[in-house]
Amino acid sequence: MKIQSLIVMGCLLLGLNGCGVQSASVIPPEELQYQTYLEARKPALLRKIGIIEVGHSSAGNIMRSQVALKNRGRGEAQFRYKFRWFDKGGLELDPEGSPWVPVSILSGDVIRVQGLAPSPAAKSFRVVIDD
Amino acid sequence: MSNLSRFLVIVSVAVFMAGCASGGSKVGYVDATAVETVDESFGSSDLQQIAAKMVQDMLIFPPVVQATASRRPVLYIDRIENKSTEHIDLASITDTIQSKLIGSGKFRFVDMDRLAEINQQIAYQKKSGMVDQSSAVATGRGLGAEYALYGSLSSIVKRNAGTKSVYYKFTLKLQHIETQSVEWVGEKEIRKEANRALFGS
Repeated sequence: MKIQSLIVMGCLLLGLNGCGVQSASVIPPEELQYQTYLEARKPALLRKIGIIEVGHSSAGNIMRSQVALKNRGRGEAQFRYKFRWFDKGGLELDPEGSPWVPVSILSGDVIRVQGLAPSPAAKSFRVVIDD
Repeated sequence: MSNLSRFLVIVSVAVFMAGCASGGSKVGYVDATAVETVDESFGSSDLQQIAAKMVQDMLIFPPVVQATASRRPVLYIDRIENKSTEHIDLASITDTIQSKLIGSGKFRFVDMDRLAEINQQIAYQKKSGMVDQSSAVATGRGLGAEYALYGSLSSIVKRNAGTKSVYYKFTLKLQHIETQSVEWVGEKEIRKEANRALFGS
């Protein structure tokens, strides 16, 4: 009986934890518009890290962008990011040119990262994240 | 020796041999732009981070934006001094910086290390009698550099019983040759720390 109670309690706790994870993974409506800028191989990372703000500028005719990354999850998030730049035809520019940059964001915190396009041919960008 | 002792000895030997077998090297390709932290010495990630930051900082600097708005100024790379405690091929950093600056479409370069070879090629075209003079290059048409890029890499190393900390600072300067004014200075700082475990690797 004791073991059965423990098993039931364990399942309940797992279930509640699952609910907790789900509630942390819901993207707020005001952030949905920015999610097209974000790419990740792992869905779990996408549930944890989101873009809450996007800024554009230019250095002459070279595109310059800034995104605000927020850690929506519990605990510190350690990952790496890079900007990917695309020309007007959607072709990636200098795909091997930019290095991965390691960052860490505390739970609920926001960091702003910037990127400069490799050439004036860049018309759009994505931020790729990986852990 | 009891059966249990014999069994334990055999298992220990087997585990040891398995460890030896798995110690063989395994080679594969990895992402060249991935963060590399094999040890605390200067590495590929540091080179890439430095080059990326120097180029970005230079290209967004308003006077540089203005100078490159309608033309591509000519640069040459002067000495990058290694003031660090390590042997580092700084030409790798300047090659990457040069590649990115040319790729941006904002600058052109003259390579001062290639003067002898260029002169040799010109002499061959003009004097060897082997080249159709209508296709030979004209002499005296070389571009004059307007700016010089130069800088240095320094390091500070500190260690105690369990920790080694290495701090790098890369400085790059853009100097206008005619006026000798320094038009832009960029810096990139990197700190790496290695903590050694008391036991094991």
